[in-house]
Amino acid sequence: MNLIILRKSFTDAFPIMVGYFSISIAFGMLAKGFIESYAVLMSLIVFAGASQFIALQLFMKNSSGILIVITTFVVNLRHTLMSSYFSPLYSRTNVLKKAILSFGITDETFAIASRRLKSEKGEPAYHISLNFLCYVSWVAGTIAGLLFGSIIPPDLAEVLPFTLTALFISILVLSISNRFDIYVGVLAGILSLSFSAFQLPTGWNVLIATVIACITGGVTEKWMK
Amino acid sequence: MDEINVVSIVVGMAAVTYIPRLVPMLKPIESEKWLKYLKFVPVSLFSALIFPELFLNQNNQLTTDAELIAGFTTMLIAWKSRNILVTMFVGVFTLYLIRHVVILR
Repeated sequence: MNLIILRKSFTDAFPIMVGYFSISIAFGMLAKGFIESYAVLMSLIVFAGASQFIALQLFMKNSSGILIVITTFVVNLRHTLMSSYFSPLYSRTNVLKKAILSFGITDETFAIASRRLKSEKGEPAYHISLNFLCYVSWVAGTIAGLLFGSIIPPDLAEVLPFTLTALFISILVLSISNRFDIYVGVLAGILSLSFSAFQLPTGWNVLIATVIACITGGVTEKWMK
Repeated sequence: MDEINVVSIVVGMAAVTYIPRLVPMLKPIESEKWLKYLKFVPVSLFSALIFPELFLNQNNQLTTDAELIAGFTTMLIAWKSRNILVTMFVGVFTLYLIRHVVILR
């Protein structure tokens, strides 16, 4: 890899790195007392922010392992869209590079890389380097959160779990692109709320509401527009 | 939960996360049908996560509390700023203010 590519990927990755570092610090702090250093293992081999926070929440509520894995699968299924988008750009790239590259696909790296590579051909070195820099800051933040989480004052620690809700709200708002999205979102929200109020085990309410809303959205979109 | 159990769950999570990232890269999804449902995952999922957090209390009963107010404020900030970091910071700070300055639980 040459220096120009590295510099280009660093410039592009920097805002994500700052974001990832802060968010993963919160992740590490929240993991303390629950799954402890396994949070680092999770950041190392899963590397998917939203799903890690959801899994942590489920761990805290003592949900079953199979539920955590299924929920993670559903949450991360959206990566197929991003991976499919990149696939034609890398039709001439070897399998090993593709395998490394696809590990680092997240909402944020997708947003940056898809913009950069829109008019160009795929650039494996640039793309892998971009993903890797973001990955490193994600893992580093997790470790920092675990190590320094205990020096946070209790009244601040009390509001810290709201970081997750605020993160989810941001992603929700940013993923709304038209009025129909709002309808589907509200449907999912109300379903999830109702399932939860009727004492469905935690996690399943989210999973079932998401699946029903996606199917309803896909089926009705044609005649709603 | 014992340690081996946690490790196996995390490894399971890693597997089900990596497969959807890898498979379409090697073999692109052709079917439009599949994609028309998948595109609603973000809005549905995050709404499904947020609504119970904001509207229900610990005992799964409907309430209006500090989190609900902070939640709507956070939504507004996200809409205006389009910036995840700013939104998270201001959102948590809002909840802190409501709880410790306005003193509302």
